[in-house]
Amino acid sequence: MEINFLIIITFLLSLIVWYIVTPLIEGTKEIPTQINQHELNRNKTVLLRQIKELEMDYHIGNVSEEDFNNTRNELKNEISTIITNIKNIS
Amino acid sequence: MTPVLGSISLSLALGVAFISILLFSLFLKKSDYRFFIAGWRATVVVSALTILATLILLYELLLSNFDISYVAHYTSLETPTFYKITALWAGQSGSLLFWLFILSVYTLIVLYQYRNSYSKLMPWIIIVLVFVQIFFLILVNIVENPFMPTDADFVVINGNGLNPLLQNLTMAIHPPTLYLGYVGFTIPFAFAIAALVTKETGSVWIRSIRRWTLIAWLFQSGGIILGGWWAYQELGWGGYWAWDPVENASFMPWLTGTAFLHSIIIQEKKGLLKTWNMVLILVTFTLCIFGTFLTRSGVMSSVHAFAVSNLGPIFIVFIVIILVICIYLIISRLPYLKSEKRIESFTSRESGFLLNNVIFITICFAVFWGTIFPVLSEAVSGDKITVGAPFFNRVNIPIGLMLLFFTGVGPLLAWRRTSKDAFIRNFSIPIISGIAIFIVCLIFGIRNTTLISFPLTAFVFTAILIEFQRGINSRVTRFDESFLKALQTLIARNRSRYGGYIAHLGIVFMFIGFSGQAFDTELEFALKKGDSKIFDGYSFELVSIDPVERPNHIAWIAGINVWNLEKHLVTTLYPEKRVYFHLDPNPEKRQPHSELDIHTTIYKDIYSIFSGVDIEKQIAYLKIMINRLVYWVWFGGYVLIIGTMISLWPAKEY
Repeated sequence: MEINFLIIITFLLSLIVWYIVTPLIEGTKEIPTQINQHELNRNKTVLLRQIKELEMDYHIGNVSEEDFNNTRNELKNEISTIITNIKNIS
Repeated sequence: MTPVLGSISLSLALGVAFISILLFSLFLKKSDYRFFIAGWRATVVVSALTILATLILLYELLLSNFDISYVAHYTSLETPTFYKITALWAGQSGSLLFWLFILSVYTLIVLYQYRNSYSKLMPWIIIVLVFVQIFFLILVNIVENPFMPTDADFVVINGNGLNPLLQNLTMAIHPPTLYLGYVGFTIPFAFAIAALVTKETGSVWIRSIRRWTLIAWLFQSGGIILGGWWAYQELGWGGYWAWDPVENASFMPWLTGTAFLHSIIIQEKKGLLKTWNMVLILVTFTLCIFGTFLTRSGVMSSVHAFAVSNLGPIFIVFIVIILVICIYLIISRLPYLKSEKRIESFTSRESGFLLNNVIFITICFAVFWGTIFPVLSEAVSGDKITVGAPFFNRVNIPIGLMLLFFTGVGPLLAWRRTSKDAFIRNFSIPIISGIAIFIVCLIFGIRNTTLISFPLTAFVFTAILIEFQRGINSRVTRFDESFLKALQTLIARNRSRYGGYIAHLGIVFMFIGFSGQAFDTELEFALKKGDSKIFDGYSFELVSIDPVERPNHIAWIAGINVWNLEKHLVTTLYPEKRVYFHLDPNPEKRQPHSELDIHTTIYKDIYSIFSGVDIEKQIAYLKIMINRLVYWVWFGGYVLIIGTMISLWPAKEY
């Protein structure tokens, strides 16, 4: 019983050490580019959604025309920057 | 062997958690991505080991392994299987492990959600999550180990069994729901700390945590409602909220969390309130830890505190550490937290949101003060002065009504400023409906607080309907849709906003329910079998007193026919008087308990409590309460949950 238990514990420990240490031996130092790209795409989606919400607020009458144009331009500029960054990465 | 494996898992998890912090520190110092991946994996291991330990404890509970002290304390051979599972969070060490289990599951979700993306915030987010895990791992490893062997020099044949008050379906679901809320706020907290450390205080972190905050808030709301429902049907005092310290402990982070949910909209849309948002989420998390401290430390006596321990000082140290870190970070990052714009007009939606925030915080402060006052008074004067429900009601009812008013005002205001025409157009119908209900209340002779609350609920209800109508009209005009199609698309395409309005409707319904308390009545009386008693428009006839023996208790069931004054049978109620562990040779271990029965309609509840029984004389001692409009509290709760779930539902990708 105790030997079985020791085997289980040793196996569990080895598995943990192997799982944690492997990337230190096999991995790369640099952050993979597609990982940054994914984050930028996520931000782009959120900004697009914000534009849609802004348009709705404008049509309901919750936002003045001046405010609508300014905010929409700000959001569009932000998206343009993100798209440029995505292009640069790829 | 298995319990030892549980203990070892927890010890290993603590060790690996420190390794994880070390690996992330190396990554931040050397910018070597390999350390990030290794740290990420170490965090996965910490969470996996914690989950393994929790599953092992669950297995031992189901197996009734009384060699483990926790199992012997909170279960017995007679405990039904379902309650053996719920015993996992019934005691001190089990509930701490359960806290850690939920945090580990959340951590795994965050890790896998962002596995293909990287931002500057990520290492710090994980460090904060692991830091919180370390605190709870220290507790379950050193202070309250759930795998401690039973301290007895004989074989334990049977355990103590679960507290009868906890043997209730609602109580089985209530703690995990509340814990999912408490622990859930750790995620936005981690994002906030990461944003402060990396000086990335813009809207990126806000966008990332909106859904997480909503998830935590949903569970916190659900947990509070379930807690109220449990108190109402189990504790037998006829109410659902007693301003008990533990209830308050769950209510405070809910208040600040709700304020946060509203104010992040302002930051996202207008770049305002950056410092305020940081403070709110940091306070919310600290209050969550404070809530766990109140429930688990035994520092306050409460109907909800099922554990007494010496955990208090450790929790206080942890809270102080969190506060010091948060205050330092906020002060040092103030230049990065300056708002890009200013609030331009008092009649803007931004102002409405801010006022609403201030009210939430005022209520939170009042509740906090009332909750800690007994401890403070004891520390200062030596006398424990308890602040009861009258204090909380006197302070919070007027502020709560103001909050209700602003719930209606906010959506009617435009961003930046509301023109005079828009003001008149948007507010006239809600104000007229409020005045109409006020007059109706006067006609019906109502002269209590409901004279204000009913008109306010009418005002807010109409304001929300108008907001829906404006959205529908906009779609009908722009896209030539039918009314129903426009309603459907409106909600489907703007889930976050209209889900929020539905949640507001839930709050309105709940306020209707709260208002009903002003009309409640109650009577205690003894009734001989065959006799009846008339009370508040009903006749209560005792038709039977039957004994029943069940696996872990014996019960006397009173059969009460309830007739209305027109001699129609309304219902038959069956409240029970139970004695748990009745077979235990030690009479002190037998626990009496009243299981009540309620007849519910949308107007009123007939609430019956079987307080005592004289079998020889066939007399039942009963308490009957007629509670008005309670149904609306639970109905409002459902609507609130549904609204929040609509808000949470993933929106269409563009």
